[in-house]
Amino acid sequence: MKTSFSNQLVTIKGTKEGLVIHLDDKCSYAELIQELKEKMTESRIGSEHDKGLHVHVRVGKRYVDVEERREIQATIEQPGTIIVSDITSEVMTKTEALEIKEDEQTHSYARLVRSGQVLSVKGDLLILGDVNPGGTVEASGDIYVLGALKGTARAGVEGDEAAVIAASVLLPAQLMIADRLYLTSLTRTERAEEAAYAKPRYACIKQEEIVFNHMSSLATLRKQRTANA
Amino acid sequence: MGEAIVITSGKGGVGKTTTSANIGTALALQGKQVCLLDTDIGLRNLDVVMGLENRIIYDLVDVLEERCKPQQALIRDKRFDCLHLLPAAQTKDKSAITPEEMAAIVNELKPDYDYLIIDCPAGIEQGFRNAVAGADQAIVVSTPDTAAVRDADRIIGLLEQEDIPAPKLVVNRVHKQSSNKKDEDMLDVDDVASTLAIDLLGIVFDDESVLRAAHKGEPVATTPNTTASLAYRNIARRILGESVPLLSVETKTGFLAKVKKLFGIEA
Repeated sequence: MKTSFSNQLVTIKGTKEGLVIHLDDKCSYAELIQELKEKMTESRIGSEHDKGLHVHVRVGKRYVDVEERREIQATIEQPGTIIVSDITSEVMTKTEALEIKEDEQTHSYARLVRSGQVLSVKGDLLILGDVNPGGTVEASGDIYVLGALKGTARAGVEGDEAAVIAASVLLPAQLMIADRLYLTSLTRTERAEEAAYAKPRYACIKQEEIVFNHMSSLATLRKQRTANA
Repeated sequence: MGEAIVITSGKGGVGKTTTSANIGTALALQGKQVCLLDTDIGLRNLDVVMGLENRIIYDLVDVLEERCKPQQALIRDKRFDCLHLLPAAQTKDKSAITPEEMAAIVNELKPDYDYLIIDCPAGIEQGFRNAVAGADQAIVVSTPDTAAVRDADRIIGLLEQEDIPAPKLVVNRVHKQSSNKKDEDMLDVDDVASTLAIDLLGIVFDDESVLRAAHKGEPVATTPNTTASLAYRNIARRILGESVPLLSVETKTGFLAKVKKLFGIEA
């Protein structure tokens, strides 16, 4: 018989941030759940004077999938009294890690996006070249075009309202940031005239609307954004 | 081993067939062995522009379905022995052949010629895919109007996915008046070239002589002293690797105007 039961697989600690339940990450999952169930029934947490008690669960270096998370949550939670506010693990799968990496990456392309082409990425998008009329670029983050943006650009396609669209020549037919839409009101002739004198600009959402600003103020905006995040 | 060049544009009516006929003729004028291939099955007209429509016995589809040998379907030009035409079928449509079959025909003809000029149909469907299948190079024809440029842009995007070098641009039907002064209401050659961002192979001015020549069934490249003819011959020379300056707009300026210009006086 192993002596593992002499070690505590489940430890409950009270900290400044609230009640924290540490779950051992070396034992088998079945053992862990077994002991967690016992601990929850024998311990006195969850009695009537603990109404709306939030607990944090730390699983250490154990990977828990969605099913297991649900089971842990169900084991600990008691309706109305104990609420699991988060389950944190120090490990993640490669797929999750790659997804996060992709989300935070700037994807750069040295090419033209021509009429009928759609270039879509997760994360930020940097294009060294033009986006021609009829071409579309999409990103879940920001879009930067080192060239003329004359087609359609959609930034923050997954709902990020803080996303920006910047271009050396920003004369798009259409812009979308999150769910806000901008349609150009310029005629073809006006656009051609503007293109000749265009300065670098960026578009962002300000008071529910897409507005255009000079590139010089982008630095401040991005600083604010990182501060808010 | 010859080189297969596809002439394409996306949009119809910008002058693919005229360009094919004239580039082919101009290359033949330089003494090259040239074969013109019409891939516009069902709507052939390269033979009409070349004035060879009455000589067609076999066509592209006959070759494919092995009713004849490729050499039997080829029509020799009236004017040049080194210029041949493989006409498209008129009774079938684009689905009569596949890109693989087209590539096979091109590869079979290549050893016998210096240049194979493939005339592509309008559109981006099967006809386009057939025409591009055997090509080593591509020339995109556009006129200076927004719709043609938009379609040319689309076609260049599709050509970039093929295993061929970046296509070259021919801007056709350029108005002489509009191309020298900056008019915001019209596109000029620079606008077209900068939007499409590919090398400019040549510009052809809008010229009545092209229409007259097509009516007679003689490509304009054979008639001397027209700007269009000169333009096509220059394009052919550039294909052969010579560096020829682009045609200037002010070809007809008189001596006095030139002197005035020299002293900076607006003529």
